[in-house]
Amino acid sequence: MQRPPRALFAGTLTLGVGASLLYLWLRFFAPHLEASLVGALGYLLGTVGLFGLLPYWVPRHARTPDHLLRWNAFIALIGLAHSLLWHILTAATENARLANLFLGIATMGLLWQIALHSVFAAYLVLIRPTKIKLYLLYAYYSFVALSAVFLAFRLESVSGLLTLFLWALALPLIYYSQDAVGLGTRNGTYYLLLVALCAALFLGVEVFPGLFGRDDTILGIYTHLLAISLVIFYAGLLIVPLVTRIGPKAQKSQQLLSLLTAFLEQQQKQESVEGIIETARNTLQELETVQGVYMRLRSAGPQNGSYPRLVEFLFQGLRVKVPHETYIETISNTAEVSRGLPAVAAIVIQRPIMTILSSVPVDALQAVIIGTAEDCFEASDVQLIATLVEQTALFMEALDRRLYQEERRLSRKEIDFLKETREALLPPVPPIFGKVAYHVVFQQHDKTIGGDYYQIEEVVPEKVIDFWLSDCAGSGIAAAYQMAQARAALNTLWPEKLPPEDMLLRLNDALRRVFHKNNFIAATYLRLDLETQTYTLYRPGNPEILYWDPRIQKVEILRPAGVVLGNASSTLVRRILEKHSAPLIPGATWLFFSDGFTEATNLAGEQFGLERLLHLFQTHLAETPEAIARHILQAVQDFVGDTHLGDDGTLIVIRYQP
Amino acid sequence: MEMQLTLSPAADALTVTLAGELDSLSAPKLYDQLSQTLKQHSTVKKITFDCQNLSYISSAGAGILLLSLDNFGHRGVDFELRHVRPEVYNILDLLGLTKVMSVSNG
Repeated sequence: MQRPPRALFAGTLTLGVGASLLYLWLRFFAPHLEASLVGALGYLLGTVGLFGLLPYWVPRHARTPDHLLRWNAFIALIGLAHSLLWHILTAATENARLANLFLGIATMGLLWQIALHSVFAAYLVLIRPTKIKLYLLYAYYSFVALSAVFLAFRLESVSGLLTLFLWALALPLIYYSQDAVGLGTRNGTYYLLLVALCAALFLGVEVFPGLFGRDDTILGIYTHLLAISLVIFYAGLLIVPLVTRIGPKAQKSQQLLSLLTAFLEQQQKQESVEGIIETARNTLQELETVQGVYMRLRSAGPQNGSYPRLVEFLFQGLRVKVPHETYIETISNTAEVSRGLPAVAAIVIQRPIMTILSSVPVDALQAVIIGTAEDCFEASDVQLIATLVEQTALFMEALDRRLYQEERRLSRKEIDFLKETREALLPPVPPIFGKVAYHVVFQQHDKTIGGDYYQIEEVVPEKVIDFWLSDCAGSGIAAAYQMAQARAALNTLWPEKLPPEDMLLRLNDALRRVFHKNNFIAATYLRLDLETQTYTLYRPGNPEILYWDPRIQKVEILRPAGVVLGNASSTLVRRILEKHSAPLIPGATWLFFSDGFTEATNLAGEQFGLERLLHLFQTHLAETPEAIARHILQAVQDFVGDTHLGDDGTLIVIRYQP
Repeated sequence: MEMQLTLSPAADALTVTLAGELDSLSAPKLYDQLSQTLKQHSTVKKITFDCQNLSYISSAGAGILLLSLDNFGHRGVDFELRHVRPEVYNILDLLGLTKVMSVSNG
């Protein structure tokens, strides 16, 4: 609805001020003339002017019950001081014309005070305006004007009757303004303001004139009657909510509560950001004062052409804000912001969102709410809209956290699965041999399965012992499957008691059948033949083997050629595979290791390497296989700075000690 | 570092330029591209890998070279690795690939 032009009200106010000054002039220079009608006219015009201009000075969303009550109390206290001053001056002066003027100033001041009070009271009633409220207010002002007219014609009895109606009208006004006042902050300050307001009005209107002399003119009597109606209104606002809880307030609150409850219920069901935004949009759209709702995530970037010009203009304004800045602005008339924009109210909001999953850790929810008319948003509307946007952002954060937790829960499931798989794939319990001592360190990475697998197999009891260490490519479930396949193939072949090379080539054939082209295993394979007193070593793809040769008292690095298994044909593998065989000498010691040990990396990015391993092996050779293995493990852990190597690592120390 | 791969087929020869790292991620790509190219150019009898800019080869990478040799070698295709850096050569040597294909140092 288009508002009447500002100039109309400014002119009316000016006329009211002029009439008031004329009234004072008449009281001093023509005390014998009855100037009450002029004074009343000044008051009535002033009230109309103030009523019309207030929305231009203070937009609707700033006219909160709290503000209106504070302004009222402030005006009441100023009025009290004004009344006291001029009544004292009236009593003090002996000049009749001056006394008449002073009393006129006191009365006129009181009338302007009443004008302001009644305007503030009207806007208090008009928070969330309804037709009933408007009709009641029109009736109130009509009685004010009519009683002034009847008083001017000295029809006091009619005027008195009208005043009674005026006082009675205060009651429904109180009733219908409860919801507005109820939406404000009802606390100690609220009651204190109303008490101060009523007390100041009563003192200024009743007590001071009683003490220092009343203005017995028609206007004086009329002012007194009007003031009483205002005292009734404000005292009613103080008392009625204390003694009754019924009324539109409860209905309105119930509506808002059900709206908010439905909003929260729907939001909790949403599984996507889009769903959350849509729910918020639909809820906001239900508000009476809202014409359009536009919401987006800041990271979504500009979406030219998808918004009306006004909305795009308002979103543009948000671009200069940083994402972590909370921002809310209520524009009572967008036409005043930029030429060519429609005359409507708008609310612009930015609310930061902290996200975990997103690549952008801080995003922001941006909202533009367009009103149905200019200056249509109450303070409570702004508050409600801001709350809904805030809640929307909170739901987005909650969704992000929920997805994050879900992701973590899934990965924890995977870890549990991997742990179970890993346990199922552990090698059989190694046998104990009388002539061969060994110790295995099998370090598995916490959260996944590496491809390391070892097995010690007594091929021929007390005669032939195989030591196997292999490493599958990759990690995780894929590696676990490969490992399982290799393990199954190995344990199928071992009972056949094949020569080592045949064993490897048969294994290669078997793995080639089941492996994908990019899958393979690397292995170290040692056979100790206690009967023939020889050992045979193959190294298809695994790292070097350290060997302590007691004959020459030296550690050798054994590097027989070999290629990974499960990839190339056995013909090719055979061409490459090199056998290392030598007599078994008492005290001979072998150290097998997977690359998890040599490639263990410290914080500086340096790898543990073969040299350190060799040095440790040499240093602790005199000790048992178990002690050697533990020294090496400790050294690697110290090097890495953690008890975990960062990958799987297997280490086997074997000693022949007949 | 991702592997960069260039294949330049001629009448009966194919030059493959490898740069970066040949590991378990890039190795299948090499095999697929070799397969495709050799299908289109069935007359190729020699594949030369220019490894001047190959900074690393994993055992998976070496495995793929071996698989390629195994599969295409039957068709009479020769493999040659040229300009191989010492660190890559050591790995190939350790895995025994120098025994089955011509590998020359850079």
